[in-house]
Amino acid sequence: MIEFRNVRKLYPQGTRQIAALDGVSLKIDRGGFTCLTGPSGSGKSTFLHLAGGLDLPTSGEVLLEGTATSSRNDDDLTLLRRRRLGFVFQFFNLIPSLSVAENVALPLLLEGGRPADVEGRVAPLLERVGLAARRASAPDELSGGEMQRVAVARALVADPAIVLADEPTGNLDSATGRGILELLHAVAREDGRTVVVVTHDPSAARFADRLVRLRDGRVESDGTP
Amino acid sequence: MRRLLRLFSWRHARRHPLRTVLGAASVALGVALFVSAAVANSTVLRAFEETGERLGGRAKLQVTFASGTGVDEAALPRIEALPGAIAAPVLHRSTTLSDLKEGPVLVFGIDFWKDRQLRLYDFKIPSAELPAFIATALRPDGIVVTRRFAGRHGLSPGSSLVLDTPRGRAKLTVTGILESEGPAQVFGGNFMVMGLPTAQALFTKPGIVDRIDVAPPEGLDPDAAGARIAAALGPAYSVQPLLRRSAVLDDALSRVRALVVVSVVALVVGLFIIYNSVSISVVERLRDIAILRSLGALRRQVLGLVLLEWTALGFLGSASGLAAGYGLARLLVTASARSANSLTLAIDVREVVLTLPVAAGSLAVGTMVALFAALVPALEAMRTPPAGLLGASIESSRAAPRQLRSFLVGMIFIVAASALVLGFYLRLPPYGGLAATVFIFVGVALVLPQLTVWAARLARPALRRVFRIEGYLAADNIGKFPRRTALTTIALGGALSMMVASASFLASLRRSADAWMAEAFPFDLSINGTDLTTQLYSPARFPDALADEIRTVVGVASVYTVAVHHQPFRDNEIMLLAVDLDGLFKMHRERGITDRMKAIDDPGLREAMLAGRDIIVSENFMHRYGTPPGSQVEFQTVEGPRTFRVARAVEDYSWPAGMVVMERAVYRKLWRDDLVAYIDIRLAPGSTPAEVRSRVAETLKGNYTAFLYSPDELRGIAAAALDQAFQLSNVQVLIAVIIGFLGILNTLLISVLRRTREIGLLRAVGATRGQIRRTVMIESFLMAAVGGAIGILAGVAGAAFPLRLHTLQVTGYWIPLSIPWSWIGAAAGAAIAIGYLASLLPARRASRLNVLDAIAYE
Repeated sequence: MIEFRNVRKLYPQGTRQIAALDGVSLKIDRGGFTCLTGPSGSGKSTFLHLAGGLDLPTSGEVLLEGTATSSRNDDDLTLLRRRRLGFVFQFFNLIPSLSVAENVALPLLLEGGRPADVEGRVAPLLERVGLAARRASAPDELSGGEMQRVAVARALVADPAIVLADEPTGNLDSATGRGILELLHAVAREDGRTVVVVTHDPSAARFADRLVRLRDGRVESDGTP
Repeated sequence: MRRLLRLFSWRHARRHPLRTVLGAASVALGVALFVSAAVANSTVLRAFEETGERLGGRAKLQVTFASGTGVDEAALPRIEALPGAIAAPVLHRSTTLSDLKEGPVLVFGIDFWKDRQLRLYDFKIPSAELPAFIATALRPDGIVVTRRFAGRHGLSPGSSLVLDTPRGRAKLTVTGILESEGPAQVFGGNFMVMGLPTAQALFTKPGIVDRIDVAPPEGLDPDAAGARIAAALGPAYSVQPLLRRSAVLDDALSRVRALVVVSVVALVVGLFIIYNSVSISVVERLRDIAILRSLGALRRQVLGLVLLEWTALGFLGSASGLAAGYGLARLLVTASARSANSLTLAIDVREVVLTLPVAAGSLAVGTMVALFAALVPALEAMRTPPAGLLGASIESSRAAPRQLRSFLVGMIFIVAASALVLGFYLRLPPYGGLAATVFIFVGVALVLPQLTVWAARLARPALRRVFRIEGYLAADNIGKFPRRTALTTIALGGALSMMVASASFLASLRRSADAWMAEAFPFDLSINGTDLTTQLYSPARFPDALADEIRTVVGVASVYTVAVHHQPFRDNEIMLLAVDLDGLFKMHRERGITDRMKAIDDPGLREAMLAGRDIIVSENFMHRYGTPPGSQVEFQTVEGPRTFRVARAVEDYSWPAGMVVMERAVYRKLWRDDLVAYIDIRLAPGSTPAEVRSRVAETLKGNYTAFLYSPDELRGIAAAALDQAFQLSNVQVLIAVIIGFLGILNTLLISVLRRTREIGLLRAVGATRGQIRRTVMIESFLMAAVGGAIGILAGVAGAAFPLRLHTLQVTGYWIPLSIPWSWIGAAAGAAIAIGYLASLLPARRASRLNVLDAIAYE
């Protein structure tokens, strides 16, 4: 499903090139809950961005569903993100001018879905994340946990095969964060989706089927927690 | 796409109304300036044609002497010999009715039975009674007025009316009322008709009319008919289309056309503002764009969204600008028509017309400007991968980007455009020089970002020393966003440069005209037949003999007379001043010959002028027609063509198409015209102007309507006329300055927004609200100061070079440069005021940010 083959990603910093990822090779199969951990600057977020087609590797290959991202043009990658991937970000990244329901529906609106079809997908998801009653609220009226649950619902609305979450509990208290991790775990277990979570949170390991540890842009360990 | 537009663009606009309005307002203002000038130009031209058609009726041609002074009625039978041609003699004058405090009115002296074949006169009289009515109405003391004029002044058949004429004040009787048809529709009803013999007795002499109007035979082209009539009449006559534009009209129109140029510059300035607003808007919404892209929005979906947004804003701005421009056009048209009618009534503006091409063109231009301004930053945002966009919101640590490529391109622009202006200006087509100036403006806009980076770097230590950390942060922020800063300062600079250039040009013109009048007028009082405060060029005339009467008034030491004639010359109309040279120079010597007059106080020259060999021309005449001293010019006179030698060229601002001075006796003989326009008086020692004024008024009372002016009063009238002429360009400049102000305000608001986190961190580590406010204000002052400096330098340079050269090309006037120090001070003051005012709201917002919210802001 997701495969990294000797991937390097370099970023310019002044006159130098910094290797955010330095020869990472990794394969994540369908289904399951994979946790990616590591200290700050270890390349976790970079890994997720490359896995989601939000960026391209400097060298090596990132394969999504068997095809290298480098060989896809921007439209292909974009459509892949829209239809096959779901993203959950640390800072929620909700659109402030849209309501909860509209934020959740966003990928379907981009697809040009009919309002009845869109509503048919959004309503059950809002129920699932416990926010049906807040569907008309604006993001700034929600708590951090509520916002993150909206983000999870948005990540699921297009029925993706893969959900990528970048520090989903990073801005939440421990209890709320646990709730989000339980939700993501349910997504992996009940829906059979592939969930990859990048996190500092040690409690996330409890939910993981697989724990990958990065350090200085390389895989330090890879196994069951 | 409609849904995305509604969810993103409309919601965002509602949440940030000020920013949305600022962007649209810039487009609106630029379009308003453009529309006002375009509408005024087309309205004045159209009004001229319509007025001519209403006055001309079926007539398409006019016949005059080739000299331009009327035509003799003897030519009539030869014109009528062309089968099917209809011809009618006309004497037409603009005059005043000082008793009614009305004027100017257009008076037609006609042969009714010929004229009615050309023009429609509706007296509401049955046809059978018409001959008897006309015999009465057009009797020697009769005059027919329009229904509207009669209604305004409570006149009816039998009422008295006093008309100001060269023969004196003529008491006439209203003998008929003309309904609003044909020529009676013009000038709000200020149109009157009298019999031709009556008009000739009052304004000229028997046998002479101003022109013979001709309707060509049915089916014959007017040009062909004109050629046949000209062949039949011979070279002593001129056959022209009826709708011929005068030099005064052309001058009024050229000023309106110049405003089009000003508005183009303002639109370019507006373009920079919009580009700035749009690029800031796009960057401000990078996070939204990043989220959309990460969720699967295609590049073209996002690009389309941004472009559609700004197309809509551009269209709305353009529509607002169209409405505002129409309102401004009405002011422009009134001023232009007044100016064009200053010699003779030629333009009756009844409605200000916004034509479909102008409306559609303005909407298109404004919308395209906004679209173009949005395209570049939007494409830039699309080039960055979504992951890059997600990380792009925090930029407080970003180093200043390099702008070297744009700097080099800008330098090429400046050097090339400068070479063009300096080397080839006089060979460029009209407005070519001004176009080159716009290129210099664009070049400066391209070099300014890199200059900003360098300047900010250099200024940081000094600003830190003077303003402490606040100055350092302000300079740092300016240097971090050089393109944004540069565009803002150049927009303000452009606006202020227009202000300074316009003021400099006006000051130069006033100073030159004032100095000229101070030296050229040796008299203490001048008698005119018209109130010059309402009509700058007096059409009124006095008989020659009146000067002799004035000489006998106690307190008058000497008198000389000046005749004024508008002479056709090379498709133009020049002003011919026929001066009693002996009287003039006697008066100059009595006063003390000035340096300016010394150059022409030459007995040999005077002798040649008295003999009719030499003339003196104005410098603008020399430049316009290429007639330096020594060259020969030919004028058509009543006595036939006559050649004169140009003896001297002198500085003179009497007439935009050029002025010629000749000896009055020569003019009287060759043009057979013994009327004078001005009688100039020198006071005897011991007499006061007030005493002599009242004695002269007493002498003229009841016989002539006359207005007496001292040289100081004439200078005041000229200055007021210049001020009025520039009033509307000042409105345009003011609008451009407002655009500059909006630019700085917009930039600062966005700057505060984008530095929210940085500001939060500063507050968290101990910066006070006052320090934050001061940082924003210093940034604003720096931008305004640079904008002001650019504006002042560019304004003076613009006045010194392209404006003066353009004036030389178009009018022949070479105006010595005058630095308008008071206006430079005003521009500097405006820059400071703008810097202060534009900073108030952003500084307040910055200082009131909640520290915790600001730190958490992404």
